[in-house]
Amino acid sequence: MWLVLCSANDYSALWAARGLKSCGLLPLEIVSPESLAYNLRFDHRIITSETDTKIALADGRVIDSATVCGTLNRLQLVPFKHLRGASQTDRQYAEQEIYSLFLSWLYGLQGVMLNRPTPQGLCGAWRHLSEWVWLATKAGLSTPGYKQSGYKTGSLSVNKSNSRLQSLVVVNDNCFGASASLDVKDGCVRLSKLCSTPLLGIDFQVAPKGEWIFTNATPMPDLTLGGALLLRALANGLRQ
Amino acid sequence: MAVKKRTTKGAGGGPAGRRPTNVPSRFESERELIVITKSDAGLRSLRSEVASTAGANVTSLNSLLQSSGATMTPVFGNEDRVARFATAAAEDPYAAASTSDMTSFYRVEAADEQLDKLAEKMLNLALVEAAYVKPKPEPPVLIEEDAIAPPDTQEAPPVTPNFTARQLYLDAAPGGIDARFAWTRNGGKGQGARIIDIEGAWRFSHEDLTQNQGGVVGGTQSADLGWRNHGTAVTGEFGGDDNAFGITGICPLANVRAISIFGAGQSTAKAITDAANALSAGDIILIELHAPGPRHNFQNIGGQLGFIAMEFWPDNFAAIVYATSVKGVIVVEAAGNGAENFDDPLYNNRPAGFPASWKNPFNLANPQSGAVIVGAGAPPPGTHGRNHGADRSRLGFSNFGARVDVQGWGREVTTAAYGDLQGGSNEDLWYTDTFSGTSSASPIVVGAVGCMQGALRAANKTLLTPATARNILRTTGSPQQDEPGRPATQRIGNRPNLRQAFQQLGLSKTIIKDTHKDKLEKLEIKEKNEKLEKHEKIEIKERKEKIEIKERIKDKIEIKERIKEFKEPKEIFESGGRDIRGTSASEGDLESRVSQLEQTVGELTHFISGDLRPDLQSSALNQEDDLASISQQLQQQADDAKAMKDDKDIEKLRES
Repeated sequence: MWLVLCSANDYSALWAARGLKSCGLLPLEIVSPESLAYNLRFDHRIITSETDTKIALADGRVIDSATVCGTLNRLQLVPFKHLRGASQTDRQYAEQEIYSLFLSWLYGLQGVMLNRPTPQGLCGAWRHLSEWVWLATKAGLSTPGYKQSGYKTGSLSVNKSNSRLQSLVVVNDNCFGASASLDVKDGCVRLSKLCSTPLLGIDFQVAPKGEWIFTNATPMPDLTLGGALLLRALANGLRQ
Repeated sequence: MAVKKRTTKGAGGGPAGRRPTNVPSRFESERELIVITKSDAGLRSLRSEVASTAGANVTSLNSLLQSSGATMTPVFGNEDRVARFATAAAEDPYAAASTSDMTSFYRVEAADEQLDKLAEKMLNLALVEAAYVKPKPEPPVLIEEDAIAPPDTQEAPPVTPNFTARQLYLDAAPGGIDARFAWTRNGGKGQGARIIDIEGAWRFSHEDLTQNQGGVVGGTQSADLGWRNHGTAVTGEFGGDDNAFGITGICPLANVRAISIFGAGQSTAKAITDAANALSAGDIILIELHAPGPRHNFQNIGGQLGFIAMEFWPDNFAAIVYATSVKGVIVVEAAGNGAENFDDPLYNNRPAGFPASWKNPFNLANPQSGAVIVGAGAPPPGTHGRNHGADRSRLGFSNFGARVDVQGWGREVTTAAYGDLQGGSNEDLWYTDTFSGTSSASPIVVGAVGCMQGALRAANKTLLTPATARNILRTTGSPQQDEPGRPATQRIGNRPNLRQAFQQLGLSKTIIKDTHKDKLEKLEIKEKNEKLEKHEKIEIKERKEKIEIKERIKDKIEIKERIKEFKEPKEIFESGGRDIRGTSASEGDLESRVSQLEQTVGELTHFISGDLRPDLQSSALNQEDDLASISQQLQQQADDAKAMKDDKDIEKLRES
């Protein structure tokens, strides 16, 4: 069984799920974070070398970690609406516990997972813009000046007039999306490796002279940008 | 001896499921040495040598080529052009990686006896990722002693008889594919569809191939009669002219062209990409070839044993992926006549010289080419007086397995060429009753897809894509049957059923435009008359009911009026317009009110007439779920889960 974990309004993931099915990844289950959080039963056992998890969902489906072959993970947050009745202290404690449980389950889930969770994010690390700029520079991409004043989010010195926004998506060391030079694509792959995020979206401002300037990156890219070829790479990646 | 004089036995398809005999091939073709260079080498083929744009050392490669007198040319054309196209295609969501990989494929041309040694030496070079020799391809027509008989020596009559009654594959399912039904629908004869057949030679001067054809548009035709007969028979099956003599193709109004695998710089893979470039999304490529596979170490041991579909070889696979994924062209490919099981683990073994990344394309778990693979099934027993086993059972020679999508007639196909049905000295008048193999099966599927595309285009609907075409062929049609020794578990898929497919595509209600007064249309008219009669009967019944209602209403109004007169003998309601209560209680007004009532009732009964009622079978509910509905479904699941969780929490609170 393959899993696509995404919210109901994540059309990019739903598009990918539909495409993965047509690529032959069957059975494939689309599971929302709400279905996971409002489960009927969550058994998570950890032994020295492996984990064993069974989640009984309200709609009757059971996610057995032993049957999972691969996962497209687009979970950002765990819904905590059902904890609203608890006191603030209890609620905060319960939220941390549930988040840890999800993190442990996802981290221990067998098969390929794009992306594995980290303490900084359930579908891959969410990073501060300054950190992305630093990593992009290390990866050899053209980066703009970054300015940080006080505690507010920093700003990039990119001239957005006359430039256009382009996005690329890296899947397992392959770059998809807009037409870019090999140097830019190689840089994107290096960035994906540097931040250990095999599924990574990278935004650029393309200057009128054709220079691609990094502006941001995300572990939750718009997958539709890569079209059928990205789907194929995704399907191949999840099959391994 | 003419083939039409054959007895009822049928090799490969007989009750015992005889496998192909060891008749040697008579089709001349070439082996190809294909070299795949490492993608970072940036090689460019010059006139006499190879250079590297990435600064890689090409000395050893050039010296090897020079010492063996070989030349190395890119399979898919100039590397920079292919690379440029890859860059341009990258903006298209359907394109990118496959095209960039295509710059690494080269064909090494050298004397045939040198190819194997050259491949071995190439593999030792640092720049080379893979080097393999592709065996000689052949057309997948069944080869038997009697199948290679010369044509009938008797001269053709002044006018060729009409052979369409012998083309039973055109008939209704399950025996045929019901092309005759498709013809009654707008565009159902393949109008606007374009097809390119890839093989060795054709005779486009044939009397039944003169309309809607664009001739040979690539490569050089083989002079061999075997290749020419084959190409002519294939194109006749789907493209035979729509006239009163000879045969009629399944989609006779589709445009048919051909590309040969022969000629300078030509190869099977290049022929496929050339065809894809000459077509648009939704058009069709037919690969009418097969070649010896790994069962007998890529050797032709005779009788086509072990021959497999062309997509097994990486360059062909890349070319098909280009056609299906980048160009959106539907590729139909003969499964081959090797009697092979594509699910055999043998096919998982990477052949020597293939790239390390190669994966068995016949395994559905691996990356797919997107082509529709066609197996050969038996025609209904008794067709042309012969019996090849249960209808739609796998013919013994046909390859099979999970990868095979769909089947066509692998025997008894009446079409142009060969001359066993009508022969003589003029090849343009030759016809056959016995075209066979996965060769005859594949054009049937091409014809079916051509009909669907024509009808979809005429109905202004979205054309089939490679994926949807494959899906509809797999999910509709007449199912494969068992035959002793050849059970249906040896999958070759369903035989197409165009009536069912049209229904699924929402095309079954399109207007009949054709004016031919053949039997089928008479049948249609009969059906229509029956419907009309039925409709009239319903109308009469409705009229009777209306009269009854009218009388009842009349009675009620009269009673009401009488009551009013009784209660208010001098008061009269004043009302204007069409108030049905009226302005007086006189008998004349009562009649007018009744007629108004009648009109209203009439309008209510017929505000949507039968012919204006929507076809609910083809409504959006019948289409594939779109993303919005998946999203809604997911949201519903989430809401239900939350509600259930809340209920559970409340229960626990109550318990505590």
